[in-house]
Amino acid sequence: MEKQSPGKFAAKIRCCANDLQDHGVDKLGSLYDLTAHRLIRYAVTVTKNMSDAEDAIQATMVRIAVKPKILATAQQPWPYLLRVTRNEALRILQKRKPIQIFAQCRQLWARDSETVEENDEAQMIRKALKRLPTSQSEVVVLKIWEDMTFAEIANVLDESPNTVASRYRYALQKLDNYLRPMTHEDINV
Amino acid sequence: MFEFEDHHSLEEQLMKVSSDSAIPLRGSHRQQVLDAARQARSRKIYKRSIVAGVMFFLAITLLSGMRDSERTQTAASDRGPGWSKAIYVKSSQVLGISTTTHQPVIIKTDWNSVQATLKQTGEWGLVDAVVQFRNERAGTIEQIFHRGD
Repeated sequence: MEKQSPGKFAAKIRCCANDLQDHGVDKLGSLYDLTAHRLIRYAVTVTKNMSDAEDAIQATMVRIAVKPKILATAQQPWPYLLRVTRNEALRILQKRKPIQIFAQCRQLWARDSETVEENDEAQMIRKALKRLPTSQSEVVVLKIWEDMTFAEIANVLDESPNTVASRYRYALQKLDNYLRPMTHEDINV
Repeated sequence: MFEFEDHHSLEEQLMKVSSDSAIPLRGSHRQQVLDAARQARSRKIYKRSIVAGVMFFLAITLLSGMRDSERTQTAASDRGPGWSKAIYVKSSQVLGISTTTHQPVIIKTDWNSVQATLKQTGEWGLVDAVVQFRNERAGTIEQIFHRGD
């Protein structure tokens, strides 16, 4: 995934939003191509479920297509998009709450029997992130993969920067605990 | 695999896998999103046109209602005392004067008509007084009026 400087990326998003405003929905494709792969990574962190994350992305894009002016005039378009995605993801989760309880039970059961067979580091990290509470894993994703500051993350999550920083610290501690045994296993093998 | 002594190195490890952590989207997802956006947009336009239509209808209804009430006010003022039927009025503005000639009501002043009118209204006392008045004086009512009797 190509890493872009935050300023350039924000400018591109704004440009896409302006295009969308001037030329209509046909220009939504460029915004999708620019942001979807990053948004889905964050949405999956919130929903812990690929299909819900895709629904959240769709709802976000529809919302932006209907009112592109808000994104075009947003001071920080990328955090704004992340926030819309988060809200949509939470809304979807809220709707599916009764089903979610069953899914969580199934997930807990699956976790015990889960064995990391792949050597893929990204897969292992993703699995470790999945084991974190959403409030912590989303901070990690935004901090490390989205390269955002605690202040920016706090803006997206509507929390104080101190809360965000402490969630991040706890998340790293837990990740450390989850991933370290895997390292030892490797050494032992 | 994972080699970290402190959180800083863990962060580095996480950052390293950042480029591998791309989650592939469904191939049809893009098209699905675009279709949904198009539908939402056309739904919004449809809703907007319905709202505009309703507003237009309400405005027309309100306007015609106001016109009707003004018309009834004009008619009422025509019938009111001191207003000529020949003058067309809209609110406080006089629009014109009718060209049709106003037919004055002819008042019959012969003795028999006067007596008949008084009988119709039940003024029997006045009927007797009028008969006495006629007997005392000669001529028609107009002649008596002009003479000053």
